[in-house]
Amino acid sequence: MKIRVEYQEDTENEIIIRYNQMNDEILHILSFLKTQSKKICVYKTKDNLIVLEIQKVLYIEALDEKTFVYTVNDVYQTSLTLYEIEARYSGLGYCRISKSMIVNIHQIHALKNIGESRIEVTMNNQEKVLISRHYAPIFREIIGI
Amino acid sequence: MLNLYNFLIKIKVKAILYTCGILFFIGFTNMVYYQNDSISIWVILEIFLVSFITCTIEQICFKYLKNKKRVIIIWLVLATIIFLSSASIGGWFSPLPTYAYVLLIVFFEIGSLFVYASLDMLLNIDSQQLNKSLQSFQQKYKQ
Repeated sequence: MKIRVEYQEDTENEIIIRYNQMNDEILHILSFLKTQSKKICVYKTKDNLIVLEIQKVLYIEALDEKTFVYTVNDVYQTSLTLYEIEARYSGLGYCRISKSMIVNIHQIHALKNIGESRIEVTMNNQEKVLISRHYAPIFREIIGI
Repeated sequence: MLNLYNFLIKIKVKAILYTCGILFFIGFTNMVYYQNDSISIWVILEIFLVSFITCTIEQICFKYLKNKKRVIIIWLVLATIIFLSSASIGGWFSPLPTYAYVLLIVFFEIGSLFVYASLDMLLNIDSQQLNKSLQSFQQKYKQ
């Protein structure tokens, strides 16, 4: 299979797969793109897996060796670690704000500098979380300040 | 140990600022009232010690008490009492009349309020910049 990457100014990012026959390799790539790009697999009980749209997640917290995914109305668990989530979704606006938390920047309502290099984040559901002084400069760089 | 070190670093910087402020005030009043351009080394050391104690109380108050405005008022009252009583006991203004103590209070309160007001203003300006950048980030990289 040939892989070609082309740069084009002023166009939306697009992946085009050309094939003359659908095979396992193509299906595997399609499945990877669909499940990995903008979705995350979560659960409340392990026999009931849910595929959640990534933009619905407010923040993700690691506690007692478990990873919890918070949306506006619900809390789920995921088998991914914070490190894996950060690696997969950092390009989609996910940013580490402390040792145990990753936040979805697109679900942030407001920011407030509370001194001592820490930033208070108000999420869209009015919950407040803190960006620690270690991660505040990284967060500032991501949002372009 | 690292936490203690960080704690002491913050106190040290502020203590020096307060010491310089008080020394400036004493020097200025000595010059104006007695044309005296010297301050005793013991007075300087006392001022630094009192400043250090006041800053320690300040750091503890701001760290453990929640309501910021109430903390500022409590700390200002405590600091005023500590500085006034130290100035009286240590005889920092011994050749000067009583109104010098009143001037010290006014000088101290106004100075402190300006410091906190300006710090607050800086934080607000930075918060505005943060929110502006956040909005442009969210517009640029819509999910």
